[in-house]
Amino acid sequence: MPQSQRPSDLGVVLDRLADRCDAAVESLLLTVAVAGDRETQLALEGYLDQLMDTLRMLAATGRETRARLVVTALDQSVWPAGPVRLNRRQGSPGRSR
Amino acid sequence: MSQSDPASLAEAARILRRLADDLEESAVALGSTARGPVNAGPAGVPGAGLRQLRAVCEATAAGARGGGSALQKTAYALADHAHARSALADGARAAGLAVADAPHESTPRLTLTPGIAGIADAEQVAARARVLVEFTARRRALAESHGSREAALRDRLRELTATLEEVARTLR
Repeated sequence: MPQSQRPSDLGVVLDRLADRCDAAVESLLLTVAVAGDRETQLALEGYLDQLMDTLRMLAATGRETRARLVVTALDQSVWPAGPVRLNRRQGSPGRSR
Repeated sequence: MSQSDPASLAEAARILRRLADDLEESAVALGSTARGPVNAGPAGVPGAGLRQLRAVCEATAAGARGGGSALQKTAYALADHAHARSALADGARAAGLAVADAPHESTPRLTLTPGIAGIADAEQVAARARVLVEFTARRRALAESHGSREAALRDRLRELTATLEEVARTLR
């Protein structure tokens, strides 16, 4: 099977990525790193805050992508020809390619 | 300067290194899972989206590794600085100087020991003054080296923060 048709593998990778990001944020929140003078401490806290923001966004993007995989997999199992879209003119479902 | 804590920096560095390893592994896994004949992603997920996610993983890993490395180096340097500071204080005391701990400074304060000195012991007074000058120079060198190390750490952390801001912007 071509790799481009292996959403389940990708799902595992995305789940793991999001979990790792969450775990790292938790660990960083529990760590109180003390660097020295006020200016250095502010630089350190700014860095850690930005890193945690990036990790939260990365986790969210990973989960979003994962959710799209699940929806697509459901679409393909129910409607192998493609997801159903409403035909606006007739008000009835039609297949989209 | 307030008291720094090398152990807390080493712990943060350990977390950052671990995070960098994890993200690099995820980036590799994303690359191998998303690679297809035309570099397309699995159905429903555009290949470009996966490539971008992989690139963000790699860039975040680099940001975490850079921070971890800077904090680890600083933790070692602070431990060395603590030894040097303590050696300076011991040496100054042994040379007959008064040593006052200054919690908000990176080095102890050194002064001549209080007492009455006069013309009769001029040589001794001059010798004590020379000792004070010598130890003050050592103290200044230690403080300068500590200050430049802190400045380098600040610059590096600010640089990494700016890079991570850019990375986060690509996800918005």
